[in-house]
Amino acid sequence: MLMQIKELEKTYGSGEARVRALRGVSFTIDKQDFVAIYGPSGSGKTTLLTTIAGLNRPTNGEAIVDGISIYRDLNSEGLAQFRNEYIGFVFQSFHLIPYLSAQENVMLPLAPQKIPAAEKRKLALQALERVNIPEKARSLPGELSGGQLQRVAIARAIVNKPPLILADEPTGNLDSQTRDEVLSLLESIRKNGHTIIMVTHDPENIKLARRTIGIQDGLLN
Amino acid sequence: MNLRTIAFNSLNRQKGKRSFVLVAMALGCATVISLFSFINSQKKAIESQFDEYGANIIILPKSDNLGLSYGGVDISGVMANQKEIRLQDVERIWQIPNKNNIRAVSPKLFGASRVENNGFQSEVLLIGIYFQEELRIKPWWEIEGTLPSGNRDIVVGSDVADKLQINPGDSLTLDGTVLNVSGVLLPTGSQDDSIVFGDFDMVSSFLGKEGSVSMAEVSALCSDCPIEQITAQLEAILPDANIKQIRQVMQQKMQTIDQFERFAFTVTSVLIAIGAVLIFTSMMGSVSERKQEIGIFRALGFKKIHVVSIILTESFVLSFIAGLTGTAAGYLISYLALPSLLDVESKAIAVSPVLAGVSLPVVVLLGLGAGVYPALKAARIDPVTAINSL
Repeated sequence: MLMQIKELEKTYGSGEARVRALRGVSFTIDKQDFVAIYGPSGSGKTTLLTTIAGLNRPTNGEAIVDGISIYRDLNSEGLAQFRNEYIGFVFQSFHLIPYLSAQENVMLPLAPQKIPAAEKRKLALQALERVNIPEKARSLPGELSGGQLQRVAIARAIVNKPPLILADEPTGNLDSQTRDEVLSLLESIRKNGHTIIMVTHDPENIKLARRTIGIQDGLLN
Repeated sequence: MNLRTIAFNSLNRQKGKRSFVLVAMALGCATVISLFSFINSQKKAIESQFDEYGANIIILPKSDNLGLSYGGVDISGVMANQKEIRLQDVERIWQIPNKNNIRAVSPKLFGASRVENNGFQSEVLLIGIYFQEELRIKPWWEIEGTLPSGNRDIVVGSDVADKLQINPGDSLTLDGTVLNVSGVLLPTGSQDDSIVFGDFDMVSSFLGKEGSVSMAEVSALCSDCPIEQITAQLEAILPDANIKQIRQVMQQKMQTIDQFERFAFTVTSVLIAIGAVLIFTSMMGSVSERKQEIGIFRALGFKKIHVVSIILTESFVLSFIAGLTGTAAGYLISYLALPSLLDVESKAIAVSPVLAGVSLPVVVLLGLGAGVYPALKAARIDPVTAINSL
C-alpha cells in the first residue's frame, strides 16, 4: 500500500458561507495502481487531489503516504519537499512556464535539487523521450500543440521519478484522439512503476483506470 | 536549470519593464556620482586657490603692541614687555603632530634702516627672509633680476625701486653699507612693494639680532586642514608666541561648498529612496503578475526559501547592472560633460574613489533591500489558490 486516506474532511469558509468540500473520505491506494476519482464539477475531487498532494491542509483526518502522515509529521517546508520527492503533477491547463523551453520546464522539479546541470539536462531529455517528444526539447510552450504541451507536463511530472502521479483533468483541454494518447501514456507510465491518481468528470477517461472512486458532495459513492 | 536560471530567464522575459527600472536606477547612480564629482572638483579648485593664497597662521612674539601692521596683522611698532621668538623655536614647528599639514614656514626679521641712493634718503622697512620659503608662501611673487645669491644681495619692492630709481644690478646704501640689488619685486599691491628684503641670516647679522625672529608665517591651508588643532599645537610648543589665524575669503567659499555638499547628500537620499521605491514597485508588480507561476513552483516542491531566492536574485541582477552602468555613466559624465560645464580641463575633475567604490555595493544593497518584502510576499502565495486561478 502506497497511500491511506483516513476520514479526510475539508471545510471552506464559516457561518452561512461554510462549504464542506470533503466529508470524511477514506480509501487506500496500492503501489502501481491507476485510480480515477470520478465526479461532477463541485463534487470535491480537486480538493481531494490537492489534499492528497500535500497542498491543502485538511480540517480533519489524515493522509498517510509511505507511512508518513504528511499533515501531522511535516511542516510547510517538509510538505514542499514531500511534493518534490513523492508527487508528480499533471494539470488540465498544463501549467508550463511560458518563458522556459520544454526541456527547462521538465527540469523545473529538479531546480531546487543539488544535481549537476548536465545530469538535470540528461534526465529531462530522457523524460521527454519517454513521452515521445525529445525533438521539442528546445521549443517554448507557445510553439507546441495541446497534446505536446500535456506530454511536456507529463515529462515534468515523471522527471524526478516520484512514486505518485496526480493528474487533474489531464485530458480536459484535448481532442478525443490526443486524449486517448495521453491516457495511454499515463498507463505506460504506471507500468514503469508509478502510481496514478487521476481526477476527472469525463466517463471516457476512466476506461484505462484499474479502479474508479466516485465522489459527490464531498462523499465517496 | 537551477534557481538562478529561472531568475535570469524571468528577467529576460520582462526586458522592457525591467529596462525602465534599470535605466532609472542607473541614471540616479550616475547623477549622484556626477554631483559629487562636481563638488569634489570645486573643492579641489578651492584647495588650489588656498595654496596660492599664502599663509594662514601668523606667529608673533607676545607683547603689548602698538602701531605697525603687516598683512592685516599687527606687528609691534612700539613694544612693551615683548617676549622673544628664537629661530630654533620656529624650527620646532616641524615637530607638531600635524606637521604633514604644514606646507611652508617662513620666519621674518624686521628692522628699520636708512637707505640712500642718488641723493635720495629715506627710512625703509628691512626684512630678513629665507627666499625659498617665502616664495612657497607667496608663489605670486615675480622678481625682475635674480634672487640673492651672495651675503650682500638684496631684493627691493617696486615702490622702493621707483623712488630710488634702482634697477637690478644697481647698488644701494643701507645704514652706510653698500649692498647689491640682485632683483626688484614686481608690484604686488601689498606692503611688500615698500620693503627691502634680504637673506634672513644676512639681515640678522646686519641688524645685530642673530637668532631672533620678529614673526613667522605658516602656510597650512587646505580644505580638510584642522586649522584650530594646528593652532593649539603651535601654542603648546611656542608659549611665548601669539598665534593668529588669518580668516580667508576662501573659507567662506568652502563653507558654501560644504552647504552644497550637504544638499548633494539630501539629493542622494532622495534618489536612493526613489530607486528603492522603483525596485520595490517593479518587484511587487512582477510578483503579482507571476502569482500563478509561483504557485506552480510551490506545487512542484519549491520551498519558500527557493521562491525568495529567485526574487532576490532578480533584484540583485537588476540592481547590479544598474549600479555598474550607473557608475560607468557617472564617470563618463564627470570626465566628458563636467569639464565643459565647469570650463576646466578633465584632469581638474576629481571623482572620489571612495564614491566609485561604494556606489555599486550601495545600489546592490538597495536593490536587495527593496526586494525583500516582495520576495517574502511571493513565498507566502498559496499554491492551491494560485493554480485554481488559472
